Formats: sequence, C-alpha cells, structure tokens
Amino acid sequence: MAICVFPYPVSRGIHALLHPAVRDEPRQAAQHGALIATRLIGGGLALVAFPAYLALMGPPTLVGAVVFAWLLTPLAVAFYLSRSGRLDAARIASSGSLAGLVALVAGATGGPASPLLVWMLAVPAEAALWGSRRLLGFAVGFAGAATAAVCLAALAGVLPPAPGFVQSAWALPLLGLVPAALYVVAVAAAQGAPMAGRPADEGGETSHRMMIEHGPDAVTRHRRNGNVTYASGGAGRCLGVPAGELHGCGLFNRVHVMDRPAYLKAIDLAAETGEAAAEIRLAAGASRTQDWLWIEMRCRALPDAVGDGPDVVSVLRDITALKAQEQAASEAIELAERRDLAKTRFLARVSHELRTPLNAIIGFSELLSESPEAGIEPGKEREYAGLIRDSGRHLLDLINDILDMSKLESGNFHVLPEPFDLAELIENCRQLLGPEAAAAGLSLENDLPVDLPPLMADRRACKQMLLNLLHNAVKFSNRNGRIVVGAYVEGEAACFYVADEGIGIARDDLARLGQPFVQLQSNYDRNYEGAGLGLSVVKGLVALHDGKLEIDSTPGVGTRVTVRLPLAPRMVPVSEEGVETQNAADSAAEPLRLTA
Amino acid sequence: MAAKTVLIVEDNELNMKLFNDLLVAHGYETIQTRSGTEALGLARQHKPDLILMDIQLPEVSGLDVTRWIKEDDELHAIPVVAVTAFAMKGDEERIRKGGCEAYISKPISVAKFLETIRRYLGEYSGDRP
Repeated sequence: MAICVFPYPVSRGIHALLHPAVRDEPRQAAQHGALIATRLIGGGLALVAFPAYLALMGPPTLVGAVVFAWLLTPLAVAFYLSRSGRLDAARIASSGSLAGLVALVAGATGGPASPLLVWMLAVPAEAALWGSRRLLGFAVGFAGAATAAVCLAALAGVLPPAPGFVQSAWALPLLGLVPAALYVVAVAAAQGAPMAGRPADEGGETSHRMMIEHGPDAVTRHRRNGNVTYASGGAGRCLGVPAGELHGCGLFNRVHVMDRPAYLKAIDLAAETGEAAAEIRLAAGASRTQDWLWIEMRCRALPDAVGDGPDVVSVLRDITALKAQEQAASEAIELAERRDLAKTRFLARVSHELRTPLNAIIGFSELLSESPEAGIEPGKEREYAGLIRDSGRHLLDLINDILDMSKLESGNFHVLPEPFDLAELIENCRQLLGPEAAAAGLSLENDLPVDLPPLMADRRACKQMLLNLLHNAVKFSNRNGRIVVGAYVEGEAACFYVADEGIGIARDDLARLGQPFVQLQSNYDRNYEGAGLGLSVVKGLVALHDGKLEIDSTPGVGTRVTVRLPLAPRMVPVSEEGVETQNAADSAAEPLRLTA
Repeated sequence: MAAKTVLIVEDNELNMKLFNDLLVAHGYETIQTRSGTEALGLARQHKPDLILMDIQLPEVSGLDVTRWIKEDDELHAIPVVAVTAFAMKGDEERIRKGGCEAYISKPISVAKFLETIRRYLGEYSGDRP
C-alpha cells in the first residue's frame, strides 16, 4: 500500500526497483518500496542542494565535504536493498546513516547545544514504525552512540565554533523540531499501515488495479483484433509463464490452431454485443509444444473511452479437469452401452444355440411318444433315441463352454501347473477329434518333434485349448482339407499350434476375434453354428498362463493359431486343495463342469 | 391326389432329419437342401407346394432366399414357412416382414408344426389366409 501514496508513475518506477523476490508480495513490496522511496528522496535532495551550497558558501570545509558525502549514504542503502532484498539489514544501515548524519551536522553547528541534535530523536522514532524491537534497539544504540560521540568531541574541544544562526530563538523549532517531526510523519505516511491501521487507498483506482494484478483470477485485456494490452499475474500463473509474455500476440500464439477462430470470434462478438464466451485450448509452460490446457474464456466489452471501438476484458478459467471428467463420463457411458449391446447379442446367440439342439431333442421325443399314430417305421425308435442323446451332448458342450467363459470372466478359473508330456496330450486330442474330422472329410495330422521337454502348465486347460482350436479348425474347414496340430520349443516358450486350410479370417476381423460371445458375422447369414465361445475360452486360458495367443490367417487360404506358454512359468502357490486334486482325474479338478 | 411336396431348407443335420421324418410319416414328399443358394434352383426345378425355411444358413440367410423366391414370377406363390431358433423379441416380426407367410420357432411342437403345414397346403377348407 505504501507506494500508493506516490503518483502512479513514481510508484511504478519504485516497483521496478524492488527486488524480484518481493515484487509479487504486496506487503513486502510496500515495506521495501517505502524504504527505497524515502532514501531516494533524502539522497536526491542532498544531490540537488550541493550545487546551491557551493554557490552560496564557496568551496566546502573538510567537515562540509564529509557531511555531503554522508548525505549520499541513503542512496547506497536504497541501492543495497534493491539488489539484495534484505530489508532488516537495509533498515539497520539506514538508522546508522541517519544517526551519523545528525551527529556530523550537530557537531558542525555547536555540538551538544546544536538545535539540529533534536533530529537524533527521529532515528528511534522511524525505527519504532518498523514494528521490530531488534531494529528499535539498533536505532536507540546508534542514536545514543552518535550523541555520546558529539558530547565527547565537544569535551575534547575538537569541534569548530558554532555559527551565529544557531543561537537565535527560531533555530530550534525551525531547524530542529519541526523538520524532524515532518520527516517522521513523511516516513510514517510512506510506511503506511502501522499508523493508519487500514490502507489509505483501499477504494482507489490504483488499488483496484493491484487487486487485479495480484488477485487469483486470470484477467486479460484485448484490443478488438485479439492483441493483449494487459495480462494479470493470475493469467501468467494460469499458463505458467511471466504475464508479460502474453502481451501483444503472445496469448494468441498459445491458442491451439483449431481454436483460434473461436478465440477471435469471442473477442469480436464481445466488442460488438457486450458479452461472449469460448472454450479454447492454450499451450501452457515455456515450450509452446507443452501441455494443452482447456480454458474457458468469458469476455465483456469495456466502456469505449477513446471512440475507436471498445476494448474487451476477459477472465480465463482452467477447465482442463472438468473436460477430463466429461470425457471420462462419456467414455464410461459408451462402454456401458457397448456392454449392454454385447449382452443382448449374447443372450440372443445363446437362445439360438440352445434352441437348435433342443428342437431335435423335443421333436424326436414327441415323435417317439406318439409313434403308433405317427406311423413311425419299426426300428426307427433306436435311431431317434441316439439322435436325442447326440443333441443332449451337444447341448452339454455348449453349457460347459458358457460356464468356462463365465468362470474365466469372473476370475474363478484356477490354474494348477504340473509337468506333463505335451506331445502325448496333443496325440490324445488328435484322436478325440479324429471321428469328427473324418466325418467332415478332413485329414488331421500331427507335427511333433521327438525331444519335446515336459511342459509346466495346467494340463486340463491345455487340453481344452487344443480341443477348442481343433474343433474350430474342423468347423471352419472345407471338405478334403488338411489340419495339422503340432508343437515346438522356441526360446523360453513352448508353442503348440493348429493350422487349417479353411475359410480364413479377414484382417479387419482379427482384432475382434476372441472377444467373448462374438462370432464374426452378427446377422442371420452367419455361416457357422456356435456361440463364438471356443476362441474366447482359449484366449482366457492363455492369459491365465502368462502366455500369448497368435492368429495368422489369410481369407480363403487358411488359419494358423499358435499358443505360446512360458516353459518355466512363475509358480503360483498351490493350495492344499490344489495338491490333492493334482493327481485326481480330470473331472475332479473341475467342480463346476457338468459331465455326461 | 398326388402327395404334396415340401422343400426343406435346413443346415442342421438332426433337425433336417426330424422335419423330413415327420413329413414323410404324414404322407408328404420332401426335397432337402442345406444350402440357401441351392434352394432357389431346387424350387424352380421341383415347384414344391411349400417351403420350410431355416433362417440362419451358410453363405446366404433364409431371408435372402425368401426374397429371391418372392421376387420370382414363377415361385412367388409358394408359401414359405420360417422354422428358426431366432425367437427373441422382434424376430417374428422381422421374419414375416422379410416375406415369410408363417413363422415357427424352435423347438417346435409337433402338433402345431403339422397344423401350420396343413393350413398352408390348403388342406383345411376355407382356412387359407
């Protein structure tokens, strides 16, 4: 507040002299400003008075020269404070400088009897305004020591004789009491607060400007063309740069290229209609390629003082977090909708897949129960019973797939690694699928190295992966095709694969493949039966083993699915229960699985 | 009166056998195909009295085949009965809009299945739509 007692240009000049560390701290800036201002005025007056002294009194005496030299010490104090920012040290030096000056002048004008010695009281009086006991102590000490020095010098008889004017009656009030008192009042006014209690200029214009400059809001003032003529400290803080960098085109250059039209339009619109707003992206930080902040800019036209169109003042608000929340919310909604759609599709799919075998089961059993009237040929009963059994088994497979998938999805599928012979398992699976492949007119071959090391993995899971892959290969192969199932070791991984010469998968579809319950074509002309669960289950089981699933496919040529499992997996601690079930039959390790 | 002929378009082997045996047991002649593309040629060749149409088929859907039949000057009068496992809300409406005269959802009821067939073969007097 202190610098507010000076006209604005002066206070701005003083503001420029402040140490950078205190410029943005209003209270400290006021204290530093007060000391610098008063020291500059004191020292400045001495400089101005020196030529006049020379003209009136002729060449100075030795004492006169020392006094003048001493009169310049306040300038040194101001300079020191401006450069160092150390207020207490500057104040102590200032007290010492004033005490010394008074002692010199008093010594030259009659010593202890000099009316100018009254000035010595100004030293502690000024220090008292600073509100620090330590500083007051220094001031009293300096004043006491200086007074004592004057008295000692008088006793020693080294002082020059007192000039005549000090004897006159007006000397004491005119040279001593009044100016000293005025000095203290001036210092107090510059200091401001302690005496007045409240800042004198709370409602004034400079105060308002200061509120904007130092307030929390990011405020900018624009010409109608968008150029910035003022940016508050808050605007600089908002963008992490000195506010001065935003002047002119500085702010515009930080606006995202895509948002520049919106920025200019908002300012133009505000100038025209009085008010406008825009949401724009601004580059924050020193390098212009750094973070983008979302900024809400609200603009209002200022009164048009000059008549060349109104300036626009705008308040910037960082809404980056808000934008991120909006984004997250809309993504969450989108995800929920996608899941909802997937669930609906899944239900439709499962309904379709369950109804197909149920149709055979119910239809044939109705036929059997009505056989006399329906005129079923003798001997057909046995065949129908067999068909009902086949359909029932198909239904069971389907339900097991669904259960597996839901166990995988809910994280309830426990993997129990054990060493086993992968080659033997592959041959076992090949034989299991043999009849199905033969019925579809396919050859099913294996490709196994002789020295395949034992694999440490969940045997049942591996069996299921192989069966699902083989099943898919049979389903998606053309007649007379060839299917190869094989294994090999590559680096730290055991790999097994199933390759077919079937219909293949288009590149675009590969990414979607293996998502639960998704078969590629989603409409009525879906080529193949099935809920699309097989590959999803494989994918889930591979993930449980820290493995990788690779699918290479060319439409019309064939598909090769490779499973890579780590040879030495991270050992999952096996529970008591796990140890017991390890040697048990397959069915015992799968409590949730239904068995025929 | 010569036996009526029914063209069965159905890709599931067991269901094909069920429909075939049901129809044969009730005195109909049948023509069978698993393929929608083949169905159109067979319809032209044999001019069946009725077509049983599965909707989910390899390559082309039963709805596509139905559309071709309904667009064909010679074939469009043949009733097409959809027999499908698509039985969710909206499926029947969509399938009827696709040109099928009737819709039967799987699993079928044998009695209702036979009744629908008889109705569309005009074997109930005055019962034709």
